[in-house]
Amino acid sequence: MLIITDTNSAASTLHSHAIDPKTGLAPPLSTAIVLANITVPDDLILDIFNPNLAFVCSQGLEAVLRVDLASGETTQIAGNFTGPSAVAWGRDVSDVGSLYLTTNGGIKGDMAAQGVSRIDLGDMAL
Amino acid sequence: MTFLRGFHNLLLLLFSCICSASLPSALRIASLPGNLVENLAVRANGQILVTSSTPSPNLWQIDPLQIRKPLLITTFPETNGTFGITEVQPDVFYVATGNIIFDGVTVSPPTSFSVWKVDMAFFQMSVNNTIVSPAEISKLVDMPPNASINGMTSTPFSVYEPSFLLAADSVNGLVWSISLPVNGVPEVFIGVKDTTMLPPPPSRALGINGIKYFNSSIYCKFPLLFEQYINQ
Repeated sequence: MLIITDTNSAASTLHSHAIDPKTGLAPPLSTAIVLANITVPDDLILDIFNPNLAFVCSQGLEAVLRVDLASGETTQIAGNFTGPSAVAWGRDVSDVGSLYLTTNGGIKGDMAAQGVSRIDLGDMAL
Repeated sequence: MTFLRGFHNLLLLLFSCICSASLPSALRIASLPGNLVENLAVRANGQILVTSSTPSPNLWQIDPLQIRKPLLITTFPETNGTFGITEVQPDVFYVATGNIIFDGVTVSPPTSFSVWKVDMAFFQMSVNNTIVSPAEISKLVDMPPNASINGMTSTPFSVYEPSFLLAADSVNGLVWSISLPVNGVPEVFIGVKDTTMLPPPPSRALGINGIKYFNSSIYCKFPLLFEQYINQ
């Protein structure tokens, strides 16, 4: 069984769901587990160093949040982004603890804000 | 006064030290004005692949060191948007494409989705940022007419059995499974569907949006969530 973690933008929630890797289907009787409430979330990344952490884009807060998956506690780690849409880990030696963030300009369609940023997490990734 | 000013400066210094220690810094590394920047995946060599929509379905490569300018890897035919992206095998990515209709006021949920394979294994660029050897692009599958893909992830690749792309459908509130058989035709079917993936009624906004697979190799360090599933 695999676990996927997913956001619901309209419901402002973060969940996990189970998937059977042999069939691509949810196992019978498995249900969603609600992990946290996040204001209008977009995409996310799971923490490669700490399996209890996820980093989630919040379109609503215009920020990236660190989420403790065990407690549901959220901490804003960086903000003032216009339309934070997705995050991914760096894979080079120097940026393996940094997140790359896409920003889509938000509902204002701010073209000047459309691009990619790097967030250096340091101890926040642990 | 001097003492007070000195004390004030000391407080400021302490405060700035505390702030810089607790909050990570963010640095803009690339601007893509006019691109509705949607999603990203980082290649093993550190270069960043970025999907974007309108005016064209662009797949960009961004240099994390900012030495090279953003490079347009490819566009995709028959559509104007690229959405979720996931790496299945080393340097082999799958990208969801679809059509966004913008009437000047509102953006309609994108339709007419396909999934494309983007093989970067033999991709090469020159020192002056031109493409020497292009990425190999091929269509994997057309999605059902009502599908609307947002985020996308994948199960681990194996040479022995199919892995699956898992695509979040924000409009229909479900996850599409797309099989990646070693040989043969991919199958598209509904993998997971429940009320947590729908927008809460009467909202017509986006439901499930982002999606990531949690690597099985670290299940043992993640007992809490895993045990909840075992107990179900």
